[in-house]
Amino acid sequence: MNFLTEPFHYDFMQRALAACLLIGFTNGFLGSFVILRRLTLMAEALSHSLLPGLVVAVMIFGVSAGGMLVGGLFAALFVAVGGHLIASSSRVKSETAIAALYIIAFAVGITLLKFTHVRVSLEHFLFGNILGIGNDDLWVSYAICCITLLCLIGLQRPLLLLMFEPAVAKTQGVPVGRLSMLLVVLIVLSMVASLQAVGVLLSLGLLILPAATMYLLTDSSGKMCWGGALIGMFGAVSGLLVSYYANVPSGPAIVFVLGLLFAAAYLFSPKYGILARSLHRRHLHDESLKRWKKTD
Amino acid sequence: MSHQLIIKDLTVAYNRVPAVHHLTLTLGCGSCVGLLGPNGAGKTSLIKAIAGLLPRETGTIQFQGHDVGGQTGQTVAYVPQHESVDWDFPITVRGLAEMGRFPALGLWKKFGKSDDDLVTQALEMTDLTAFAHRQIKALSGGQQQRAFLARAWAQQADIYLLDEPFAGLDLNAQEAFTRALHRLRAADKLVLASHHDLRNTAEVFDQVVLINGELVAAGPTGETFTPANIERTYGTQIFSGNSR
Repeated sequence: MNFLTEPFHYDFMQRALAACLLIGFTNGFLGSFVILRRLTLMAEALSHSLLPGLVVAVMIFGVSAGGMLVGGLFAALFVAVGGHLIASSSRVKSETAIAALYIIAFAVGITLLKFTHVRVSLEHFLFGNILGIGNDDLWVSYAICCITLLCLIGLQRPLLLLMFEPAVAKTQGVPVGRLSMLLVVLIVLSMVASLQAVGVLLSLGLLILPAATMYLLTDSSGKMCWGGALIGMFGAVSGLLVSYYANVPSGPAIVFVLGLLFAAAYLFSPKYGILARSLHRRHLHDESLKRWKKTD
Repeated sequence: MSHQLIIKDLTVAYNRVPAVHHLTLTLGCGSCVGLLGPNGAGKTSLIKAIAGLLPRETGTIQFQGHDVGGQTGQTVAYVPQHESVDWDFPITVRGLAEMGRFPALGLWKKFGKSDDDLVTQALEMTDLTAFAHRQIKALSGGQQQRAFLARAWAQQADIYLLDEPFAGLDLNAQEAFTRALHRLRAADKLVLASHHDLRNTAEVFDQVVLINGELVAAGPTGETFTPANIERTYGTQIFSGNSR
């Protein structure tokens, strides 16, 4: 077991471990809501649109956790709200409008990076560098984790109604518009929290993969959330170890581990895995088979 | 009598083209009402307007002296058309029925014994107790319809709105579903279902509403569901605004 504990003698690895636990849990938990509300593409757009906001924040405030949080939040909200405005004022549909805005924002972000005077490498933004995480970043992650969990657990009933039947939820007293907005804000917050670890491009993986894995394993939305959170933590920590020993960036390592778990669930899930389904296919309806055998 | 759904001068329109035209109608609780009419007659629009899913151009919808519509909360339960449901959603039949309690519980109230009993009762009412722990996709079409009925019962709604509940059900499933509807009627609820099949109308519904853009006839099935009225409903051109 020494290889598990040995890396954590270093201060920077202890901070990285704490960050992985926090962001793995938050993103994994939130991911279920993103998948069930079908916001995956929206989340991808938001992740890319963070970049210009972060760069501008770095140009103004220097590399500070709070500044990057504000910058990322503004850029993502600009894309989300802007996409909505374009979609409602022209014949362009919302997914096209949002895609157009985020890719423009991403281009602006990369261009702006050339003009930053602070020495921040492009790679650091795009793929994350968890070993560079500081105490400030940890506190921001911790705060985001608390806010996200409080919102999602406190509002679980209306959120469930919203996700299951968006069209009907309104008549049941669910404030559909405000809740959807809240989900977007929470997505941006947890992505900003996970930036240090996985970067702009890969933050979607930490958000989506744990919940997608659980979606293949359970028929309960509650288990999907908590299971996703556990998988997120496990994946983030194992990815960190892989990154330490294999000397690869933390972001790809974390997403790689989560990807393996997803692939395993896709293949071997007892109920929804393709293996179980192909073995089961011969009898589409177990009950009628039983009945048929009885009368035989 | 206050246990009545009173619709006055209701107009529902899409882009200013009315689908339901100045409709006035009173329906009493303890009845099972079939809503009949040709395609495009405004059956779905009427149901959605009562459920608060479509805005009203004119008119009022009242129940027990209160305006229904906009936020219908617990009074009205809407059972959606089959296609509009995500059947892959990770939820069991019991979980679905439990969701019916959410509007009454709000954010913080504990899901207590009485809520649990209501859910159990709802599953018994719809003959779904044996399937309580199935994911909703692993049900037959008729069971799926009844699962939504169970949720409506758990909600303790007074008015049950169903959009084409019999579509695609075989004879056995139709009978089981009719049984569940009649239990609701016996419990003094109001069931309003849009319906296509004229053959079993008389067995399922004790009242019918015939519409064709506007109200053609409404009343007890025996008196209203006559060849003359059916001819008037289905035989005429559908009113759907000016075709300019």
